[in-house]
Amino acid sequence: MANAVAAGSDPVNGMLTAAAAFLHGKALPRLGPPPLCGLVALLRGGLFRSAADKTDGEQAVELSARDMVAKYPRRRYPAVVLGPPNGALVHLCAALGIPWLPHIDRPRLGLAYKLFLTRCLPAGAAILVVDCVGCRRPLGEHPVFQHASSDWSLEAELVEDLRAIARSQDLALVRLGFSEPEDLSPLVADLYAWWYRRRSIIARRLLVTSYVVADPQWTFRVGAVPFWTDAIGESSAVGLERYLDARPPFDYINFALFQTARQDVAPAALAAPLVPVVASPLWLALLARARRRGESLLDAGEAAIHPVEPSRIARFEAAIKRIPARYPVPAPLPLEEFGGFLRYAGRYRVAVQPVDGRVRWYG
Amino acid sequence: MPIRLGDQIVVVTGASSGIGRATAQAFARRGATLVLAARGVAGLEAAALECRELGGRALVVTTDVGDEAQMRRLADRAMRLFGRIDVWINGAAVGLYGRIEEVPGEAVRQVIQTNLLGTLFGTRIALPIFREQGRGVLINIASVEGCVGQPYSSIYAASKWAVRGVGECLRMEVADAPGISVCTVLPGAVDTPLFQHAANYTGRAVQPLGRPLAAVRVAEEIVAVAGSPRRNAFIGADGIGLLLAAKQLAPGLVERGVAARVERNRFLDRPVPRSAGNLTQPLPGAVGGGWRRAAARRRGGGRLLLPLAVAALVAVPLGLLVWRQSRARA
Repeated sequence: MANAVAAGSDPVNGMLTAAAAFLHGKALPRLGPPPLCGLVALLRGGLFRSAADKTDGEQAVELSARDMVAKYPRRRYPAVVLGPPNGALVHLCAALGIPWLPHIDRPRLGLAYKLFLTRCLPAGAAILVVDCVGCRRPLGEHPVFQHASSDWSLEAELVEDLRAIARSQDLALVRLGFSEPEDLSPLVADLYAWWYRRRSIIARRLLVTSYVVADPQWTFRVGAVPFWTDAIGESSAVGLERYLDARPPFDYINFALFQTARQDVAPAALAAPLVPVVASPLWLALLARARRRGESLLDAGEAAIHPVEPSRIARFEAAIKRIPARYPVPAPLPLEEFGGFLRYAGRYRVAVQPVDGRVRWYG
Repeated sequence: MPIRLGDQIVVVTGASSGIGRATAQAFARRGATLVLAARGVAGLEAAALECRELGGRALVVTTDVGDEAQMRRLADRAMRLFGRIDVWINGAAVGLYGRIEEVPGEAVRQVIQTNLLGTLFGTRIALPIFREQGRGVLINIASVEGCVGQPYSSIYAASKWAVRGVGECLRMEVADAPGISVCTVLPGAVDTPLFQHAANYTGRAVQPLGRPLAAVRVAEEIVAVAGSPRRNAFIGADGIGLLLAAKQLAPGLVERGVAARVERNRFLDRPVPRSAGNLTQPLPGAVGGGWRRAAARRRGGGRLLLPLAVAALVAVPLGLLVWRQSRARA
């Protein structure tokens, strides 16, 4: 089942599944292929191989892009986000009811993405492009602080492709610039808290998740403010601490922190013992800042285990459903209201810059 | 699964009098903690004392349900003290008798404010608490007049009709939260001081139609609904199903029947001056209004709905028969 495991832990796949499931009106499905599929594959003498596995290079990337866009409901969206795997971004897309197209490792936009943007974005819609230098490392590696620059750090060809499609389809191109993956998390958390307040829901609960874990559906259902960390190291804890320092206290704080998986880890190494997050004094101190109750949704054993095992994520799903609160999933936040919120976004390390086209909802 | 009521935190509005006060007592008898709300502090204090004597705990919060800020304060106090609310009962109501064009506009506003806005405010405030808790039972007290209209009751019936509608909409809105129940209680005629307290612009003293049910009986049913929530619970409305079916089949016939019955039985042979009753200020509260004794003394003091339903049962097939024959001839 090694490939099944990899399918569940691959950040792009996991987050894309969550983002697409939300737009289909569903909670995070069980990650990885269903159990019987593994058996069938084994009987056929091989493990799971997607179409992308069978080809190489650019063709494989294009096929993979085609698989990705196929996950989303085919309808008109007010915007689409192009960006790296990032839990905060998944929550942002869920709030706005828009798809996230993973920024895959290629210098051009590619046919599948171009077709998707052409078919799903009406004139006047926006392409939000994440431009984040620090996001180019594999998730979980130690960040090096940089200031968000106003210049594109993306490949010039990609930017040119985006500009061309924006011009030809009468779309707005908006750059979301930040330097580290977690820079977006305070903005998204505050957006959720602000939006809950507007819906007369008091944002009492902070849900801190890491790595691939992001379930927008259940985040809304339990009325939680999502705060995403890419890793569970000291710098992530400091980022969360900084966030908590500047906000009124939450009644409840829940952690669902997984060890970061890296694709280059040999399967044998996965069995090696890892330090449980919930035993780390740094994180424990943050949990203790809940006014009423702070707790990890995963026990020490679960948190310590590498998240490559899809059943661990299923445990997270079961744990979040045990939170008693139940709120309805709201209709998407209109871009105009998001724009209204963003006017205060100067406090964040995120630069929102309209680049091309008419951006009526921001500026 | 039935809910244990002994350790429940129950908010009751309209708790100083009538059904609200009887309901508070019924919960107190089971050891529940009551948060009692009404405008009249004297009636509330008396109700709280009764609850404590019956074995419950009681907190008094003077509240005008028509004022959303006061309702929020009520919920805040309950939450601060007890940390949760298990059952919220919107029981506050005022009555108004008179032809729609003859009652003062201010009286219309007051009835809607207390009966409808009070229920809406209570609902708006209780639901977020229930959602956060993941559970809770909301009970809105409507009336059988929320299904069957009567002359001289248009404003009151409109408010109760609306309360029933609110419950119906709300159940669909909270369908995603299986721990939350929304129940509408629809009592028939009940022996409470509402008839003495009601605003009355008819020129004659009013009384319940037929022999009313004791408020204690209604309260027991409300407690049962809190334990095993139901969508709509008719109480003391025998034959209502039949009457509603008859309304569908022969609405004109039923309306004439109800109107005749109201003209015959609603009014006492005693002229009274036009009065705003307790619309603008609370009057001394009590559980009962003494109407059951009065009805027992009267001859023919039966229930209203059952005879109507039986009459409809006879009349509707007859009507259908006549209609079919006339069609056959045509």
